[in-house]
Amino acid sequence: MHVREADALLTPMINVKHLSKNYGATRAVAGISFEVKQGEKFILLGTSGCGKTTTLKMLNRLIEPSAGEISIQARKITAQQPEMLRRSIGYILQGNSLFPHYTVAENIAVVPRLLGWSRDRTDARVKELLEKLHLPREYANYYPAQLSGGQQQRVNIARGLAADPPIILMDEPFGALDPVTRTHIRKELVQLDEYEKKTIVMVTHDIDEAFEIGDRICLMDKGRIQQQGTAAELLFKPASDFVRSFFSGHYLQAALKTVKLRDIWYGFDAEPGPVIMTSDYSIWDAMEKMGDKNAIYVADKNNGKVKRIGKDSLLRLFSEYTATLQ
Amino acid sequence: MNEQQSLWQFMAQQRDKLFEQALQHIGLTFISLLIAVAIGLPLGILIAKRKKLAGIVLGFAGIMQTIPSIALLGFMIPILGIGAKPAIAALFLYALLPIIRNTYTGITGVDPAVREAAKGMGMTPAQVLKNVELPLAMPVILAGIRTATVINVGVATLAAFIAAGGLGEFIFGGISLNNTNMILAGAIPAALLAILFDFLLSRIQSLSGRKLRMAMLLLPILGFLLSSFYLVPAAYEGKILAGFTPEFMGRTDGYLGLKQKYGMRVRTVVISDAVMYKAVYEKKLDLISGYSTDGRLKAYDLLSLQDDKNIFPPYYAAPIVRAEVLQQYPELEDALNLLAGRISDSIMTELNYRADYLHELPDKIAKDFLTSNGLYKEPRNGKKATIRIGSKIFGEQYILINMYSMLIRGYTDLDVETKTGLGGTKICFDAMTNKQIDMYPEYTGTGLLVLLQADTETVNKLITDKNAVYEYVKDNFMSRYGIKWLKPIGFNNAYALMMRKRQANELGIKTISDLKAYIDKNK
Repeated sequence: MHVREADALLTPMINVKHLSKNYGATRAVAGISFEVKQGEKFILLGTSGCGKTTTLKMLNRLIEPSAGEISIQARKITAQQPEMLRRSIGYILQGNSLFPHYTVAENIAVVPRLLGWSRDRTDARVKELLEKLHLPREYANYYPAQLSGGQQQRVNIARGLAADPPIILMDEPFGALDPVTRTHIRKELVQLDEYEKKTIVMVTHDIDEAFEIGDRICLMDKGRIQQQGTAAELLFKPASDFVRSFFSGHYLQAALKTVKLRDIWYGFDAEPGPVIMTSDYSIWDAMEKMGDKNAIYVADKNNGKVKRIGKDSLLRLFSEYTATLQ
Repeated sequence: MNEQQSLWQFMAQQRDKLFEQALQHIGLTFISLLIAVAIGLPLGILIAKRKKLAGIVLGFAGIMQTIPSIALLGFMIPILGIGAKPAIAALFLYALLPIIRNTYTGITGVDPAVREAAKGMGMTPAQVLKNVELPLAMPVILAGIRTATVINVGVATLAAFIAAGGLGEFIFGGISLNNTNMILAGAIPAALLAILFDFLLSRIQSLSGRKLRMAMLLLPILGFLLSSFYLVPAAYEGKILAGFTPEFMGRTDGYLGLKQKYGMRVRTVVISDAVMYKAVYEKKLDLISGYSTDGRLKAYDLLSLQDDKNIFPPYYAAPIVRAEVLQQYPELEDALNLLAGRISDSIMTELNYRADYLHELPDKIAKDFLTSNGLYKEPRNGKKATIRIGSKIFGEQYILINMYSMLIRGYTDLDVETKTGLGGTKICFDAMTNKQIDMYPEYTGTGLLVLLQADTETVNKLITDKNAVYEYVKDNFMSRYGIKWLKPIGFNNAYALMMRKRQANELGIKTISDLKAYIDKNK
């Protein structure tokens, strides 16, 4: 989930420079710049009207910028036909954006068809994605209206992934779902084998979602970037009162999700036991797993050393850690 | 039950004609529909993409829709003549609005999220249109085509007015001849066609996915097939094209008589009398069935051919008056008879021309005529009693009753009340027998055939002799209804075959027999 060192040395996958979009006198996006590295999960976070969706749509030229420049893999996106650009970038929207007159299989096959894939290759890919997203094979011939909201969203994800694009743009993909389904599908996405290597730019207004998925978060307001950085940086080192107040309602939960077990690894005792997770999980995850028990056993992601995580020490160490950050 | 049986009998008897008309009807409907789809669909797409044009295009199509169908057909004649072309053009204009509007509504109604997804996946604008917008708009577009089809099946009946055929020939022929079976023989198939096509299209509309795509491919093919049903009546003979009213076509004293007694075989089309005078004037037709005193005879410089074998019954006009009233006021008869024998065919045509074409008021025309014939006297303003004069709804009758009013006021102490616009013959006559009016001008032929409904034998015996007809109706009206026919006014407003005067002169045609000889010679 985090960026490998080597990747950081490469040119950024996406490079956005001084990007602006004006609608008449209104500045929807006001000269923003950011970079997204290969494999990075980059979140555009903010309230509605902050310019995050406009920014996303400029990346695949659904909206043309008023000023500024966007490069993907060091190539200006204006260098090719917008349709060609879009076919090379995955796009996942809300579930209601499926083509209602196409079957599930036809929906998933849209981009491969546009790219002129052979029928066999397309069919095989559709089958593979249905499996990966836990959709029964017979759903291939269903129409979207016959599916539940969650199933529709799985198809939507499959459609975005179909041609195996290196970059995926996501526009509030889980926005229309109920909280339970939302968490569920989000987990499925994150656990997909294809997910790790994808460069993802996702728009959301949901702080939990941003913290769970994002390697880096870009918080926007009124067309400007208020702060960009890791979840911990935004949470514990807010650049402005706006950033602080933005997270205030969600602070504790966000903090519990942001701080990983490895961050407070030093405070636990080595003790063998049945391992149920690794040290890159968050404190929130550990508490969920713990339930009524007093302790769980966790393995270090790097060296496999097992430690016992007790409930009482977990919360104490968390408080100590956050205190040092602020 | 009887009625129904005879309807089936009629339809069985006329099945060839019925079949031909139904095919023409289907053909007319679908040719115009195909053109309307071919033009309306792209236009609808265009205005869905460029919304600024939507107002103008939808406005234009909307205005077309509001033009009464018969008027639209009328407008088409100077441009496209008569026959299939103007009918198809008019039907096309009617079908246009529902198709354009539903295409526009269908495409603009596509969920923006879906459209954006299509764009975002990398579809070109043409691919978005073809793969997403059109398929999703298709049920709405089909609903528009359905509406247009049903409208066209209905309006296509009017094609019979301008010689384009179709089931309207039976419908309007039946109305003119007061033949219910004939009306139903046209109307029932027309209604069935509308229901059938509506049903078939509703089935297609409810298809989805692949089946719909299949249907979309088949539909134009089917449309072409149905369009081909409209075979312009083949193998015409001769150089003369005749346009007859549906009524004339079906009457023994009309085209049937022409065939029987003159042995005439001429290329005919069915047309409404509202447009036929103009059509012959504009050389779209060569021969029409008109009325001998119609003002348009003069307006369009037409010649009325002499009926040398007397197949058209005489329609001499005369005032008919309740005998009771004449007994009470004997001076009335003298006043009304002042007009007897005064107005010949050509004079009446002239007077009608002034009313219908120069739009002069009937009372002015009446006064001018009386004055120039030395008959006009200033009203005496007598109040002895009031004579109620009725008239049918047409110009000639208005002129006549104005003359009668002036004569009665000038020559007697009686006053006059006019009740104009009593519709047709039946209404006038019923008003008279119910003593709601005292007199109105009637025609001998109408008296014989419509009011007395004389049997065929009597009609055949009398019909060649105008005096015999007059005497027969006079006697019978008096004995049966107590109504007196006064002396005829002079003119005979009968059926007549008419040609352009110039063409008739060039061909040396004066009588119907001359025409027949010419047609036979030039086969």
